[in-house]
Amino acid sequence: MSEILRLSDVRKKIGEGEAALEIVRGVSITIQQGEFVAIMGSSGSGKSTLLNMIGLLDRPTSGSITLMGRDVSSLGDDEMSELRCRAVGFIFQNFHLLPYLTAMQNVCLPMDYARKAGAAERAVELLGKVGLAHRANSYPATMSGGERQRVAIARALANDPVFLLADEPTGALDSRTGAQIMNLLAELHHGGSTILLITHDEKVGRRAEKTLVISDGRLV
Amino acid sequence: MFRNYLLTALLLMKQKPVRTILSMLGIYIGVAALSAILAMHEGMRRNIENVYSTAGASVFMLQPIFDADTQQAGQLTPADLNMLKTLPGVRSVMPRLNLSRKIRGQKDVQEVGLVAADVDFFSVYRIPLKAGRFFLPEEVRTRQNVAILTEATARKLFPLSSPVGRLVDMEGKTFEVVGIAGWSADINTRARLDAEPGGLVPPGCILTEEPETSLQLIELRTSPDADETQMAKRIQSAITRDEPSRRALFATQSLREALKIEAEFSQSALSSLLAIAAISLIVGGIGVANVMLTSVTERTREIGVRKALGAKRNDILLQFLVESCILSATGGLTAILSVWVGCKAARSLGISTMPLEIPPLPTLGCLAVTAAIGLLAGLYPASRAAMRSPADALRYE
Repeated sequence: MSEILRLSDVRKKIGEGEAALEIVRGVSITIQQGEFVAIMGSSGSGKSTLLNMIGLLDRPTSGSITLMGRDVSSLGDDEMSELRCRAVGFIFQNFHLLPYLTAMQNVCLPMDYARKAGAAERAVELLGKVGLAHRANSYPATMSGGERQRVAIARALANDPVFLLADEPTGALDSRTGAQIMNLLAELHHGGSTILLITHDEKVGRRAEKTLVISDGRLV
Repeated sequence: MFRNYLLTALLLMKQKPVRTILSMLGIYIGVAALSAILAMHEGMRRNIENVYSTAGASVFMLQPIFDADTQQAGQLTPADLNMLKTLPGVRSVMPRLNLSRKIRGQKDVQEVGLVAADVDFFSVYRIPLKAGRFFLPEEVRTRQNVAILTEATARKLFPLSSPVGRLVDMEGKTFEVVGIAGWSADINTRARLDAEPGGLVPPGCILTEEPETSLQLIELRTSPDADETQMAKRIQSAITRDEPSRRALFATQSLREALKIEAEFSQSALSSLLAIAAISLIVGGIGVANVMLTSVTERTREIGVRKALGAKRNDILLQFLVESCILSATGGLTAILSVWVGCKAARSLGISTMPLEIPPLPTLGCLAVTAAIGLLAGLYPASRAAMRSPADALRYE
């Protein structure tokens, strides 16, 4: 197993001077290739801020983040976008599909931003993988929550990311559909994908191989 | 990638049709006003050009003027006429004479204006022949008593039969009618006549040979290729004999100069209208900027999602710029198209006598300006969108 992501003493401060608030207070995590890790914490624990830094949406105030051996904690905006595009596959609580695009067009988006050829064929293949080949030309509004999250998962897989980053992937779903989505993630994990799961739900967290708990900005 | 921006812009426009149409309408009205005025301007220009353009020759008018300083007036005589005929480059010279005569026709007597005309007169001023023929050079040279009647007069004098070949009496002199000429107000303007004449006769028939006779106006025709400024100078120096005291007593003007003055006048009248139309175009541009700002705010979360999926700043910037350019360019194009259709319709239905025509070059400029407005109007909202932090944008409710 090789290490793909390492956070060393990562801190994030919000605000300036007296009013400054340290939300993440020195977190160190190492993620190995093929792991399925859940980061758990209640709301206000700092897990969202941690997620933003892991997902290269935000930079830490101090400490370092190393992705595939490369320090990414001080990259510029466009470099971060470039890396995010190829390395991180986001799965959001509220799916975040673009409503005016079909399932297939949504799956194509990350490949378009990566300027990849053959996006359409790959999108069809991925939709087949999540069991939605027949919905390729449907708009998100006509789909159920479970279907939308599957489209989002297909989209997250589009650029063969280094890891999937799932932020409360079952948070907007009923428990049965939620279980189906978790099964799909488990399947992907067995297929070799590295998955980072952020959740406050213990039942969901238990599906991961390894569970880290964050509280008050620190791992416990 | 550009195809994707385009596709996204079109999809979004389809999603908000009312907003899209309203913001396009602002641009539409501005460009429509602008191109309608341009079309009118072009129409006027072509109209003036058509009215003034002579065929096969450049025309100069030489007239004596009164010099207020020396209290002297210029004199043009038949001798001057003969001298001007020999000037290099001059093709023909004719005294402009008009007077009024009572003509007796088949049964009626009409008081009509008579205008002197030589052979060139008809071709240069593009006077159409309706019946018979124009004057022969021989008739003009030997001062034959021949006449050409204008259509209206011919009808009055000879209501029942064609006057061609008939004799008419003009206050004691008998003239043979050789032809009938069509006439229009344009010919009056082109030939600098105050009113439509009843008939035309060779100049010699009305010009008396007495040397003291003073001519009011001499018309000179030169080759159309000759340099007009040079030619006017040559005529002027010939008539003043390069004597400083005579310089202020004569004026030479080419017909084209008169055309230029007229065109400038119409241009100045329209330029203030153009300014007003330009303002309305700017107002339209502000409308587009407003729509784009609203759109950026509304789509904050989408910007976050796109950035999370790997969109760079330029991807977001271009997407919004393409959208605002499409908004304004579509508005501008449809405006030009409808003005074009309007011009065609106005001409074919006979609503407008002007040859309304959208001039291609200013119209292209107009389109470029519209695209630029779209670009400018979209720049601020688009750069605001592009600079957003993805983490904040994703959290935006």
